[in-house]
Amino acid sequence: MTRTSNCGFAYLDEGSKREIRRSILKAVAIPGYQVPFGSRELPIGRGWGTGGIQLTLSLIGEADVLKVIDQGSDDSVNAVNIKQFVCASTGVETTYDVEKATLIQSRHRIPETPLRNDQILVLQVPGPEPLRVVEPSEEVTKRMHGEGDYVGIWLSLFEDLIRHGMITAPCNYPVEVEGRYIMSPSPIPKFDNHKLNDAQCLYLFGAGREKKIFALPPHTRVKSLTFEDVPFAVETFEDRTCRLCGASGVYMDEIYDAATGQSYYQCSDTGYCRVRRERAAAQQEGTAHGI
Amino acid sequence: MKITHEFDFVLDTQRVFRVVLDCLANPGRVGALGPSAQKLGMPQCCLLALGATLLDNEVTFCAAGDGALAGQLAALTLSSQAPAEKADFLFLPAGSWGRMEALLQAAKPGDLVDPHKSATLVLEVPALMGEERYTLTGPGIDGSLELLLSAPVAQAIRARDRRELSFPLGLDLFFLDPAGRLLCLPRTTQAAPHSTER
Repeated sequence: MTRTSNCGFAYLDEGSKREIRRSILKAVAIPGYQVPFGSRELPIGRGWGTGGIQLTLSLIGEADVLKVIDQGSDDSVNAVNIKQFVCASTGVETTYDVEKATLIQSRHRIPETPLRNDQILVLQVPGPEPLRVVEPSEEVTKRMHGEGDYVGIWLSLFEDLIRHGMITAPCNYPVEVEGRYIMSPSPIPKFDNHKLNDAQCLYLFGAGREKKIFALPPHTRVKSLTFEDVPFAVETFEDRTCRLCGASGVYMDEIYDAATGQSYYQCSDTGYCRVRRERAAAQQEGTAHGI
Repeated sequence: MKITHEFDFVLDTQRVFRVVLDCLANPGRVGALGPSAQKLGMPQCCLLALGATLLDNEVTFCAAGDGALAGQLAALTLSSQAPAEKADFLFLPAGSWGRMEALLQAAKPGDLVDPHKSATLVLEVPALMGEERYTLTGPGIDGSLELLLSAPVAQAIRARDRRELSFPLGLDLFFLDPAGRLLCLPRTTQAAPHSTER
């Protein structure tokens, strides 16, 4: 692709990129710790992925292949707009195939295909502070993280358990990083939490409105918070298969047809679903031609 | 117009940054800054390329008494100098290796509330690898990684260990050899020497 915008490469001025890059390096050196940074104005409202975009713009180079997904979809308005915005100022190639991407920006999902060590996943984060539910003051939560004072969050999980008989958080489920920091993994479904532990790839989290960057290097120990006698449980899609590609054991979207009253299930990760269908079609074509 | 160098402050700094990020996220991996840094076409180009990537007027640096390096870094980046105990980035050129211990003892480790306000040390060594057998563990390493490190790298690791800083406080070490090969050991990397006794 070619650059279509007259602004500098990757939109941000070099001073902004340098500050974000320094923050990224600190975040990688201190896994799970939220590094504050001077979040910049972008031609997009805060809360619409500006943290992720700033990370992507600071990371991206001419040789990168970019994939952007929003709630698993490559084709949602948010994903398409971010992709077009980044491409206009960089001219990089884009893809929907996770295996071809070197840099992936995502909102609310981690792709189904396990990521490689040469790939970076940037996650957009609306609320980076896991302690915000128990403490409104930023100054106090910073001190609590410093002292490892996580009694409040454990108590909130316990209260949830007492009230509902289960820990109800379906997404943004807090995790403990390397036995030290408690971190919010962004609003990924807790189905995806296990992908954070001992991963091959580097995860970077950017919260533009809250002005925080945090990271999980590859092979970092990440544990979802739970009690000894209450095992961590994720959503199950037992007996469900994708109506498009036939996949099972992946995170599904439920689609309700009001006319027939029927519910359908299909892969939340549209790129994964598309690649499966393309491969199946190619295989069928090969069989038809006796290859 | 005289072109003094071909280093692109937009595209080459991005390339240098990605190498640094890759090495820091995967401690023990050796990356190459050379292809970009050599475009600067001046002595100490690898240290300067790193400086151009990470420094500006919002952070401070210390060049361990190397006036020429300090001048070049300041001219390239507009970053200002600070004493070793206050500097955000500490550069130790190979010629000033005698100051390594003092620099590592003085470098700021951050504090519990703001551990990111710690120093990053960029140490120039004659070679990254040598005969000192170390096992690295920690985030970024799949299990453990055995490396044969050079004596200066091992000395710096031992000097950092002597600070006895407890995570999240710590110092992040970037080692550079003359060819621009980079090895990063963030504060989370534990490096255990192997006993030479049999």
